[in-house]
Amino acid sequence: MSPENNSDVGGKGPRNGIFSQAYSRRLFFILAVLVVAGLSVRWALVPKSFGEKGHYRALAPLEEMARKPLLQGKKVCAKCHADEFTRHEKDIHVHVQCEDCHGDGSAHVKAREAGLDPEQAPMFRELQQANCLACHRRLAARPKLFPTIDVKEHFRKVRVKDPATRCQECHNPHEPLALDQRVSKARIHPLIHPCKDCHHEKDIAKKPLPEGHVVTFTCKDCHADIVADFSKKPHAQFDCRTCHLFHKDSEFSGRIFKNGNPKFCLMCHLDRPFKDGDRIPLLESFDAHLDDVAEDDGDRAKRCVDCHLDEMIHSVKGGIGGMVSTPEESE
Amino acid sequence: MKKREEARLIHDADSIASITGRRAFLKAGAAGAAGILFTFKLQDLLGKEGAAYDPKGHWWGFMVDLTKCIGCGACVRACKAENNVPDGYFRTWVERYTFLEGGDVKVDSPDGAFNGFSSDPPYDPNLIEKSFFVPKLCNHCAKAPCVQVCPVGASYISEDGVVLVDHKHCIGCGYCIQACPYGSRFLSPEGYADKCTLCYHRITKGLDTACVQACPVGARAFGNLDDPDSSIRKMLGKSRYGVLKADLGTEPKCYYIGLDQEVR
Repeated sequence: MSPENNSDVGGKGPRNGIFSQAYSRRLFFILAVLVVAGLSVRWALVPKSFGEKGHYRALAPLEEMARKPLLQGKKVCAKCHADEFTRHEKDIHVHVQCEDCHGDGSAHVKAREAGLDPEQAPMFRELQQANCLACHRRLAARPKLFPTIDVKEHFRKVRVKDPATRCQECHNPHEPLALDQRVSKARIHPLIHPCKDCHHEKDIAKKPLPEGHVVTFTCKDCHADIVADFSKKPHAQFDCRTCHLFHKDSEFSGRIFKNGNPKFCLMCHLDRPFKDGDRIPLLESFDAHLDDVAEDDGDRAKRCVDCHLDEMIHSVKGGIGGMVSTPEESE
Repeated sequence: MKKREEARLIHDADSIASITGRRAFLKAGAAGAAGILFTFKLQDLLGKEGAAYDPKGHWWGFMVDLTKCIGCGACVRACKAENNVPDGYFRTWVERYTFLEGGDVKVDSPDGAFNGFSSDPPYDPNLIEKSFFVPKLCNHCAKAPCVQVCPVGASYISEDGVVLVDHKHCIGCGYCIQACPYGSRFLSPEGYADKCTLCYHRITKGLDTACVQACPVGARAFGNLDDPDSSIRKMLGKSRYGVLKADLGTEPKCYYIGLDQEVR
């Protein structure tokens, strides 16, 4: 209240001034305006459904929910591309989604559903080394059990002359390993070998570990005969893992699959222009090879390893206590 | 390509229009605009699948197995495609930790690992003690600091435990971006705060999140933490896991298997 106001009311005394009708009416009016203004600002600023479920607009999560998914998932692709899908499902890339390599498929599927030519919305199909190397380039940070390569080293090993050779020349991304499923299921192998796997002495597990005894096992610790024999064979430069998948260290019993599929051998041994024919025996085709060597229909059904295992790769006759079996037994 | 672009534009047109509407309203102070903005019909918003989903009984959590991650960047690419995340912004990204002899720890994430990692970091390979990839995303904290600081209630935790941003209500002040200790939020070029939604539009329809679906090695997983039979509960039950910055008390729900203490 200003001093002038005080002097105006003069004789009536200071108490009357505040509660006079004019003042209370004005006060009420100001309050009413404030309340109305407040309410209308609130009405304008606070959206509908705000606060119904919490300190947010209750419709917001529903709006978020209503968005349409874009990525399709491989089951949608399988509806039209059954061939590729079946092969893909059987091989090691089974967990790699179609869209990981081919890109978002929503437009492609939409075109198909609208009866348009799906080629109007083609999928990504660039077969470049870089695309495979996004996963398979050797990097210090990659898990050791994941298959990675250094391109130069790999090409040197498999005798590829042209450094620009695309991975797809040998590896079909839909079935990169051409796994032989018949054998794959037959071999369940303990990762952490109990002592008795290698030692037949009684109570061996209770004895102290001798000095220099391996703790981390490598292939040769249990498969000494095979590894020794293998080192003399033409494939000696390859790691066991080239054909056998390691036990996984996250499992107690790891699976070992074996590639008995001719497709797998032909990745290297099929005659292609970029391969160094002087240093690697090349076949014109598997059928042509069978024409040359097969004596009857039974021979024609054989896999590469049925004839070439001992001769070219390694002997399977060694091994310890039934851990190693011939392919016939394991099937 | 063009078709794809169109599809995205159509699906985003609604939200963009309302955001520009909101900005206009704030500038002009016109009260009427708000009424138009929020006249939604519930049924229009809900798809058939959306109506079937009940948030009650769900409490979503995420899991990353660092021992499996190969740093290919498939998750980053899938997330960008699914959510139309603008270039240079990331709802999820992959970091590479490199431990050098002598105790130095280097972290890099070229372009958020959108194209994966094209080479080893530029250090002498003999000096690298250990190295691994760490995918990062919103931790969907149960006590999310980003939600607490939002002055308008645009950041919220949904009933089923997903931290979301109401793009239409967000004023783009950026407090939440400052508050998030994990750097999971960004101010989108359209002016609102944006972040991982845990693919709320997918998980509520029974689909996997884009990144989980895309991961070729199964390093990512998500699931209902309330359901003792869910795969995430079972996997967590038999794994040794950790969370990022547990000491901040944000109660993150993104669990890392094989987490190193140096990872922040």
